[in-house]
Amino acid sequence: MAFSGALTLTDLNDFITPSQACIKPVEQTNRPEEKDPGAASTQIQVDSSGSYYEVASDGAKQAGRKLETAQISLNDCLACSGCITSAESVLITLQSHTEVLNFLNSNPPRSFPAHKVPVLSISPQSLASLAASVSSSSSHPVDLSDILHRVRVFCKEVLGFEHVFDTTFARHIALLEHAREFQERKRGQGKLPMLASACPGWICYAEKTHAEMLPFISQTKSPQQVMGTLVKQWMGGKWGKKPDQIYHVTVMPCYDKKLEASRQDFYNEQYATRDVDCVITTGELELLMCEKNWDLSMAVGGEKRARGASPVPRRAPPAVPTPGPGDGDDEIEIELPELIAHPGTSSGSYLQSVISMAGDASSCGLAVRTVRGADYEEHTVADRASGAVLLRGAKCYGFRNLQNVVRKVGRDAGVQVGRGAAGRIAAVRARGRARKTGADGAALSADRGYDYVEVMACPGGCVNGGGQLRPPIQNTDAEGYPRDWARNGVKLDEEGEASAPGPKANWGSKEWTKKVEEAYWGGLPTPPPTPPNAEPGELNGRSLRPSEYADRLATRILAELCSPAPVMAPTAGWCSTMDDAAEERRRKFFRTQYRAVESEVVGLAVKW
Amino acid sequence: MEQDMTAHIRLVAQLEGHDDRAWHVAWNPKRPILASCSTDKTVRMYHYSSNLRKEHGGDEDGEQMFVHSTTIPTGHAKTVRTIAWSPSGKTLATASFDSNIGIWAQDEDDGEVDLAGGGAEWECMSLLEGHETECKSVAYSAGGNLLASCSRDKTVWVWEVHPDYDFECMGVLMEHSQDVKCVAWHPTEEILASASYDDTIKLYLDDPSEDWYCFATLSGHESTVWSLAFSPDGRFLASSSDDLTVRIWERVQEHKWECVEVLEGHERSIYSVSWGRGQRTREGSLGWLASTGGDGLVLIWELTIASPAAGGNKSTLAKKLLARLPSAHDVADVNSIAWCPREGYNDTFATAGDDGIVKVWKVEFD
Repeated sequence: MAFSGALTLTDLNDFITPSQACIKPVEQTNRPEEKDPGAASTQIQVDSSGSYYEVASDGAKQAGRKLETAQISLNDCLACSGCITSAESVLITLQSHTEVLNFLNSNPPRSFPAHKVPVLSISPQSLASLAASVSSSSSHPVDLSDILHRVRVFCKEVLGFEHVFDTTFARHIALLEHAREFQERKRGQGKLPMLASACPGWICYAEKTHAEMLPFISQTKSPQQVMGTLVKQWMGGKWGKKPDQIYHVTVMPCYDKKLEASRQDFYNEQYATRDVDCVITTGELELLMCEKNWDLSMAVGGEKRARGASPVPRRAPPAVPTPGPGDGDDEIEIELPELIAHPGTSSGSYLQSVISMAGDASSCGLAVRTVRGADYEEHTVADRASGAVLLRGAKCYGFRNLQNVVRKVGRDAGVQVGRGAAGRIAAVRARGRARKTGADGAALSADRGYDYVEVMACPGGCVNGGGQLRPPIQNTDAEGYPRDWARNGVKLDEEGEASAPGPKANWGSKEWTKKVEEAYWGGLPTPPPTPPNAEPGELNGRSLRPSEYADRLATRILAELCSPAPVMAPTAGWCSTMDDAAEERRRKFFRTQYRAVESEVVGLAVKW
Repeated sequence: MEQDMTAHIRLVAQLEGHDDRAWHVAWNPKRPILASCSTDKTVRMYHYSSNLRKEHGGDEDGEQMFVHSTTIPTGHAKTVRTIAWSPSGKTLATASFDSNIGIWAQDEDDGEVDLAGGGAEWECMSLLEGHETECKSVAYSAGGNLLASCSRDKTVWVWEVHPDYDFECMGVLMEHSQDVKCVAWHPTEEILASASYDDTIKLYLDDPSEDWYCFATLSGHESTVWSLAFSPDGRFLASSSDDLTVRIWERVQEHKWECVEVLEGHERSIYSVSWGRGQRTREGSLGWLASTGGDGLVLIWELTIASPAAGGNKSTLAKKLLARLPSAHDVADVNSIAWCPREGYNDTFATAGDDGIVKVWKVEFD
């Protein structure tokens, strides 16, 4: 299947495994010269160094020709529906923490023209994973801002990164654009329901096995790729750096983010560079810290300042690009709003961002129905007075629920679900649909299709991503952890699990995911209804709430990147419509596209 | 050990018509229909008349009693590997190498549905997609509310059957490390078993608050496990393997199954087992177990509990080879064997072979 194998590392049974056959054809670039038909062909020999040679099979004296080693690149994996014989090794060698170290070691000093500015952006889910891990092994719980601060100090002082950001501001922009796209679709420009697109595992899977779903998938870039645009385009502009003069690393909870970053759409042909040059997982960041003997549980100086501080930087970045005089030494220190909490889900609050637009909170009610477990919920916004349904959305995590959403969306939208072979069963009867149409109106509206679905491939969502830290080892001895578990009211089975196998087998992971979820929300078990960080910030001398500040900054970035004509009004917001050329640039900077991957996985002729 | 054979196997009908290998046979549990599937991508249905039961009348014209009633040209792009009837007998599921599962039924509004499976046309009411590669087996739970499938993609899927031929995926189980060959449901409880090329059998349950999960792995076979069959009383599970044995597993505790017996006698892979009630029921009888495979040999065992399980210990089984039929399909491999589940047909079974032929047999005592 299409998701990277790393996802299977946890005990949960709802992940997707890689399929068995890599169908990447071996392209022979050095074809043997013309030869007589039927003549003895050549053999391949391997020498002591492991190189492959083509030699005549009759043992001819001529020196064998050295053959190219067959290689599989990340792009091959993206294009291959069969997934990846050893996806992990391919991924890890091409985008790994050693790759980051190699780059940093070979990056010439700043005074050299070939110097690239190293920038690191870390996702809030990764911070939550680190926070949960640190908190579980120390008596002092730490929050995300502590962790971000420590990671920043580590990356800057130990590794030599020049800028370290978290990706919540990029997510803020992604959510704005995402909401705008949803409004467009509501107006008929595009299909509904809209399906979230931030999960690269889901995108991969949809492109390979459910091409009919692609028109429904949001074309807004994911936070990672918005961050890529911000760093390479907007910040690069401010720093006077071209995109290829910046090396952008992201830290993500998910291996498939590596696949996302290497999509062709995010490759800048002109500068031969990607918006995100290298993606490492939370686990790989921890590995980096391990190798550098950095103890994340140790507080670093200046932490408490960060803790009490407003998420809004005191100093807004200058509006006009002011490139340095050429030595590149005095880049502007750009500060983005940090750790913006978006209420909703720990996977990015996409559904919530759509719900919050559906109607006025004073006149509308939100009903949440659990369909099956916390990973499949239906959210319905209805007008309190009339009972009219304004929006029906769902949150749907994990491979199993994803299957059902694909089926449901396909059925409601009347599209043929599935791949090639399915089409040949000419007439799948639509009895169910026909009957429902005949039902009375009330029943119809209760069963109306979704307007929006927040789809994530991992059970539990991004906090439980395949790239997150493993839960600390649960010792069965009396030391350490058992006390913690007991305090949580969890009984440990003292007897051997083998004699009484049961659902406890996968208890550890779910419990751990819950802890990461708590860390994500700053120790609160459930998402807060409103952003907790409501301290005022300052922009142009005015006091603003963080989300307002973020909105303003986002709009300014939009204007700077898209340079609309005429210039946007000061009151304009993200959703303002600009001139055609500027809208075209908006699409380029903040939207993307998907394409079906033709799969002709034949496999070996299987007879049985 | 009693090995003296007291019965023989008589050919009742030889049903030709598939253009390629016949893979599987399935008896409708409620109606007199026998269905078979093939590499030719069709499902063929045969109606049988009840005078099959006239023990000593018209037996010579056995073939005449099975009448081809309809052929479904399924539309699957590849081999139809397995078929399964729902317990109601109204719905048929087809598992195909094109990775999909078809759900077939007759539209009762479209005309008279006769017992023979003729009349109204069999239509594809739903298509279950999700498997990445060849779907190998499909099975309805005893209650008919769940459907399980398995594939070369190593996964086992559990689907919930909703009204109007709607299905919801309840679980994707990725426990096996290789191709999964067969799925089978417990006859009364919602326990699912799967057999794999990884030589193991896995047993699954639904945790109401969570997901489907694997609660036991049965190891012992030394090669691919091809086929599974629960005993009619649900206390035992039979598995057949490439290691030329059939193993019998007993439920010794709620969630614990152990191997209590190993049956030998085949010379090639044992592709299929079926466990029927049998006829001459006596004290402790577990019914009749039929096995067949690459050697074309059909073996019928009568299994009895010699000393019942006590205090968590295993039972001791007595096995008796009732009948032995070599070359059931001449030189062809036999891919499938199935006892007729309908009342009064406990001595009747069907086989499907690489020769494309479906045969119906009866066990008769000498």
